[in-house]
Amino acid sequence: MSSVRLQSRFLGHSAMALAMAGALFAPGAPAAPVRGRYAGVELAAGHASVRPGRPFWVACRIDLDAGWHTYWKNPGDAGLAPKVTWTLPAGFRAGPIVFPFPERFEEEGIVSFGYAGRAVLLTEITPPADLAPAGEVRLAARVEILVCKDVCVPESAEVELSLPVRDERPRADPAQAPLLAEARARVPKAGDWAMRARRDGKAIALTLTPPAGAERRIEKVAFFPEAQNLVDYAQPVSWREADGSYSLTIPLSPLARKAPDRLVGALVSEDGWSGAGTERALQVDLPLE
Amino acid sequence: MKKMMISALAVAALGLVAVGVSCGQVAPAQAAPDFTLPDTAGQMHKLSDNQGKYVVLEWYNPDCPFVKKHYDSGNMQALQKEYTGKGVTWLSICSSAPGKQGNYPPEQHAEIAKAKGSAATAVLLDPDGKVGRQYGAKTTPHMFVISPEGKVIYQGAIDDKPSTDQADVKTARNFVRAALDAALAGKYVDPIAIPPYGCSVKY
Repeated sequence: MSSVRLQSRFLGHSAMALAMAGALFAPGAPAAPVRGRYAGVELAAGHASVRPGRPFWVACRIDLDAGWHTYWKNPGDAGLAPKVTWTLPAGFRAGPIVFPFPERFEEEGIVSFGYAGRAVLLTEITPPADLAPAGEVRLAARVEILVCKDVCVPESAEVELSLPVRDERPRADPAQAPLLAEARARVPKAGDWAMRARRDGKAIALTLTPPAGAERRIEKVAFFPEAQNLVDYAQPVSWREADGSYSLTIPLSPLARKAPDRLVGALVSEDGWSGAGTERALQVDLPLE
Repeated sequence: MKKMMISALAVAALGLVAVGVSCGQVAPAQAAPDFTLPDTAGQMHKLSDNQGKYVVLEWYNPDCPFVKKHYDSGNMQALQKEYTGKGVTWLSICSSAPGKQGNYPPEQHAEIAKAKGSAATAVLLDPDGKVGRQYGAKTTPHMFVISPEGKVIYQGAIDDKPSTDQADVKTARNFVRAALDAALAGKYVDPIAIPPYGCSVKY
């Protein structure tokens, strides 16, 4: 088990002192955010400790200067998806980035998907079951993002977080838990709608039916595909209701493969998919019939 | 009798195409739209004058970090030199609008291209974005390979490592090279379209 290593090539002197203070006096407190030119990046955990064998979520919080945005897993017509490379103690595993649903940006006909203001990228980390329940662990990540306004700038930040290891149910960290809870609420969910997707000429037809007896009113949606070169981002989708079921027609890109086999993406509405105030993003992951 | 209620709810626009602007898109194996553009010396170049030759169109903005990746590493120039040496016409096209990144007066574009050691046949200027939109050019770089018969045989990313990291150039699979090598050898081009990566074209 590693002790906290405070050596970091990219943290300045004062930031390192802050990191040390954080480790000694406030276990679980994130190290000082790393400032790039147009974004600040830091790691945050929702819990105040790590339990051997118990997976936990870590957020990479990216605060963007006004007017700047960064990208979703499919950046759209242009841009670049974020990349997070973890350096973890022995036996730890990090899952892939889990993305909250994005917003859509369009300029001069070029469409992209991402985040303005703040982006929160989630990762689930699994500690080994045989981790000794003592001391602290240091989680480090290199976060590489593209931030754009009228021009694009690549930014790279080395960030870290130290957490104590205790063999007890981790307590929520009241300072950070809301950030993670909000981000997790915006991650597309499987939901309880019955969905089918089929190819229909130059479009994909997606039908959605709520559970029997459920009164679900969805006025308007936006669809964010995960694959590139599948959907024509510039064409409108049409969303129709017929007798309690809904159908979404998604135009295909002329560059779509002749027989795409799956439709994967986030379907986002202003209304909640399980009723008012519930999840706004549904995960679509269907074979194309 | 069951009453069918079909109400078309708000048509959620997935794309708001800017008023007065239409973006084309060239489907695979479609004819490459013809165009005429000036180069940095003011000489006009017409695409269809290249009938019988392979043509590469390279959407270009010298200040974009993705374009810099391929020029600072020497990758783009090496490709330009290799394939113009094999009779391919290589046209770098800048569609940056006035006031936007990458837009420069022709003389300055000429200086920049020379300083970079560009070995393109010509750098063409498209500041009103007409040709970029005809082709659906989205990023810089965005590559199109056109056959001697005037068909687009490859379009999209220059290689398979979307990043701004120069180090990736060495290990990347270059799609322009793959398309030209296959086509020049009379073989099928595969892939024919890969999503491009880069900065947005600054229309």
